Amino acid sequence: MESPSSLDPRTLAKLKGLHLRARHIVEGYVSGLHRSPYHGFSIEFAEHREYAPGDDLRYVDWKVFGRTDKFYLKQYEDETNLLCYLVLDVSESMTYRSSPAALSKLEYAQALAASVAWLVLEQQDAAGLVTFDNQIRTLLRPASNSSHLQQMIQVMENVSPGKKTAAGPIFHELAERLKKRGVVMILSDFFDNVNSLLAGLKHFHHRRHDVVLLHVLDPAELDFPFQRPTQFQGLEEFPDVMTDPQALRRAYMKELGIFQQKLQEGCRTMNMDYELMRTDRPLDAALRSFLAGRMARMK
Amino acid sequence: MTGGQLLAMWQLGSGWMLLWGLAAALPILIHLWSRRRFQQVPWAAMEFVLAAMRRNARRIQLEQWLLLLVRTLIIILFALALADPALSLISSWTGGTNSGQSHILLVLDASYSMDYRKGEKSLFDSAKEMAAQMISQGKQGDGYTLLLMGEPPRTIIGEPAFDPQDVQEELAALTLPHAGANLSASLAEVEAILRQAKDREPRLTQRQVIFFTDLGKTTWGDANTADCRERLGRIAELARLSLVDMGEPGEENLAITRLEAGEPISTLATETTFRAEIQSFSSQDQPRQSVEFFVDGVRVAEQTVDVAAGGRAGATFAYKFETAGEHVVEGRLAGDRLALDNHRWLSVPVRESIRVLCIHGKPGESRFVALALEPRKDNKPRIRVEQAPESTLLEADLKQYDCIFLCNVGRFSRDEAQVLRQYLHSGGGLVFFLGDQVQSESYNQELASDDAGKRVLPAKLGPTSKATESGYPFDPLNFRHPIVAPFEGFKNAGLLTTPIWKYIELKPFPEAKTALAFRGGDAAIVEEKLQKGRSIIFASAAAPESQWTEISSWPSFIPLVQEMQQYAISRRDEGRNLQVGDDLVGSFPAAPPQTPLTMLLPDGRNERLSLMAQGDESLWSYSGGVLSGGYEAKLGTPTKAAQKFALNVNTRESDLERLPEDLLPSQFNLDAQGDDGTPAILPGSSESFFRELLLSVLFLLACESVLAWRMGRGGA
Repeated sequence: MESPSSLDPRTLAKLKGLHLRARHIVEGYVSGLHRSPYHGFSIEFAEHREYAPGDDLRYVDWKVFGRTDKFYLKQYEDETNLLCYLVLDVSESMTYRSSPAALSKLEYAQALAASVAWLVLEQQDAAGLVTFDNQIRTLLRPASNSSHLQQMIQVMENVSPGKKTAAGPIFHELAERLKKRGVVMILSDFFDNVNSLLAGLKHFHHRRHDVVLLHVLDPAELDFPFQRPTQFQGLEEFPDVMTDPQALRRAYMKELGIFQQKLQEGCRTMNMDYELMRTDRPLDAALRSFLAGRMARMK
Repeated sequence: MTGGQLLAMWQLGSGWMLLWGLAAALPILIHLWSRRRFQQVPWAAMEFVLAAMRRNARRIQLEQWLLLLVRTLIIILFALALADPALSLISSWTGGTNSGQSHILLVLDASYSMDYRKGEKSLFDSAKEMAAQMISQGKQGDGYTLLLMGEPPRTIIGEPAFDPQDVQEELAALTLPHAGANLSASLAEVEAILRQAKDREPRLTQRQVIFFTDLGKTTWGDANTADCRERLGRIAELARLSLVDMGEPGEENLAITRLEAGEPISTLATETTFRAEIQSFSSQDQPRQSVEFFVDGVRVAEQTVDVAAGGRAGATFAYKFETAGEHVVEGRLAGDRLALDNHRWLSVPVRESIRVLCIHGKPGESRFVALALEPRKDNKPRIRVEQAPESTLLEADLKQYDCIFLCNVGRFSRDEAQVLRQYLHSGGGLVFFLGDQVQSESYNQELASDDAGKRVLPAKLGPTSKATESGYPFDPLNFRHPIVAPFEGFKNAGLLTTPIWKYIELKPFPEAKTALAFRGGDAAIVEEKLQKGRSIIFASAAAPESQWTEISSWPSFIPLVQEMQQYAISRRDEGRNLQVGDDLVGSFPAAPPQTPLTMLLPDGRNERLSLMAQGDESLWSYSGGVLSGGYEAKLGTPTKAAQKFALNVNTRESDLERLPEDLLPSQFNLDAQGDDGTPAILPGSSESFFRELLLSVLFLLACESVLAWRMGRGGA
């Protein structure tokens, strides 16, 4: 269990402005790390240089060692030119916040996106932003200048939640529009038809994007803690439903579990990263856990 | 099923507790109320909620109804358990034979052997407690009747009573009469009660008679007589017969079976000897038993006697009364477990002297009789004799005399005969001596009616025998009669040589007894109990003048006259000492109708009696004497008089021998008593099953918890 910290969603909720929240998260995160997880990640090879103590052994060219019996490291032409696309779901379902939660799913996802963008730009890489509901609302092309962060935050702060989600078709469209390969980080509750979702994600896979799914869910959606008879007022144009949540809880959890399982299996098949983000979890811990897991998988 | 049968199924100990069943509406109301008080939640993951509802709607609804049903059932069953329903409810449903309410006739053995004590409680008290316990375990709607099996049987509740509290109050108020029990009469009463209840309360379809008894042989010895067997057979067709055996084998007892005075009338002149007889009903010797004697409550003597197993012993004491009047003597035995027969009382009216009137037909005729009765003149003679002519019969108040001798009275007028009849009615004794003046026709006409209620003589007079010089010697008839019994073995007393030369032939009435006869076969002395007194006639004369006899100068004369006098007055106070259950009857000199008359009972209570004027007397009677002991009838001012009586137990009941169970008629079931001595639940009565209902409630509570838990988890 994460220890309470200044990065607890309840604390962050008191901070006004996404910039301030993002800085707070990143400072908290950086104070716990010494290396960027995206360090040295690039695509175009340039030349070799001789190994010096302290260099990362992952970049030793073993073929050259086999021929010359000397250690040479691979040097890349565009070492810092990482492209990170932050794809943020701004549909109505993302506005849900249960009474114990401090942030809505959208607020939580915004904070996460801003923090990741900060980190990416901090290490001179490029970050872009896409917001969508049943259509793409905003698309900011990736850039690495420091003013770009402010622009991204401004877009996120000014976002107005839409209605219905149509993530599958949106992913198809995005995959077509994001020509340059990069990291596609999707922050959403993914409340859509799972088959349509996976079809859209497959498109990213075909475009050889490195896709990361950050599945943002409210604790109430995960635990279904309601006791009294409840009228559920459907968001995203769903009808209102009156039911006894106690009697329904197990069945609901089963349906949610099936959905999550299908989504995770799809990600695994397509070699995508999947991370569940509970909105009651401290953001730095969530970020650290995700990035540490990602580093481990890339080694 | 008829409405009556449906109602009969509801046999509840506390029917009003069913009102709690109304609380069964609570779960339904709460369910409806909670459906109206729901929360509203905006919800994003609606697709999963809808999918879950699509797949589980029927199950959820079913579980909710099931939970509601279980909760409602819990309250209904709990209310039903509080109402304490009876077994017959179940048996009604299952078609059992024990359906319907019962008529339960409780019969308590009221013979005084039930006073036998085991520890602090008598058998009778234990029987009452058991009966009360049975009633408390009965089912609602049962009817109870109550009979005391006594002598005579007494119906306490004759028609079925349906309030157990009332019946228990009647039970608690019961006291044990000091009498025996009459099985035959009790069975007749049982049959009558059952038949009456069957006619009047047809809804009481089950009937049961439960006897609580010590199975004393004295009472139950009659159980196998033809009369009882027939009656039991008829009762068994009407009802189930059960018997709770309160007694135990080997119970032992001592009792005072007799207490009597040596003289028929006690006087201030001489000591009276009293004798108590103690009988053992034990199988073991009872040495050194203390017997105490009390006169008017004051202890005057004590004796210690050894009583052999099954034997008898006597204790005597002599006492000289200081004052004339009403006295009560009590014999008291040291206590054993049956205390009632350890006491015996004797009412002793004490006179200054016995007053005898000698009527003579001609002067001097009665002088020898008078002399024989009062041989020496004394200031305080035991017998005070007055001689008078026959005219005195109509002039004097004869009731002041204990005995009247009539010697050679020639004839009796109708009025004289009437006076003598009244005298006999008051308990007086008459002794007739005949003689030459006697006119047999007059005697026979006025005094010797064939109707025993009207006659004064015990025999009719026949012809006079021929005079003979050889005389007519007596035949003592083996000295069987008390008048001549003292002569047995005393040849010198001269009874058999008494010179009788002439006599009048006596023709005794069938009820009369011949005490002494002539060797020729004719009766010499005849006696008969007439009304409340006794009449004796001697066939010859008392005085020698008529040349009929020289008996007056013979040694046998004085004892014979004394014995006749004693025997004649032996019934004088006969009504004073009776058995429990007998009616007490008495009379006082005529008193104003409003004069208060109170009967003082042995337990200290008193009852008002009424007087009935009859001639110059005021009569009264009392029939409520169920306790043994001394009774005193007190007449208030202005008359102020008292008469004491003693009622004693019939000591047949002191024999505690029991009827063996194998001799008990087969109609009786001995299963009414459980192993621990407490009454078992009767087949016809109810068995509460509230425990089973409470267990069901517990089971349903467990089911409710499981169901609620399952539903809380959202089902399977």
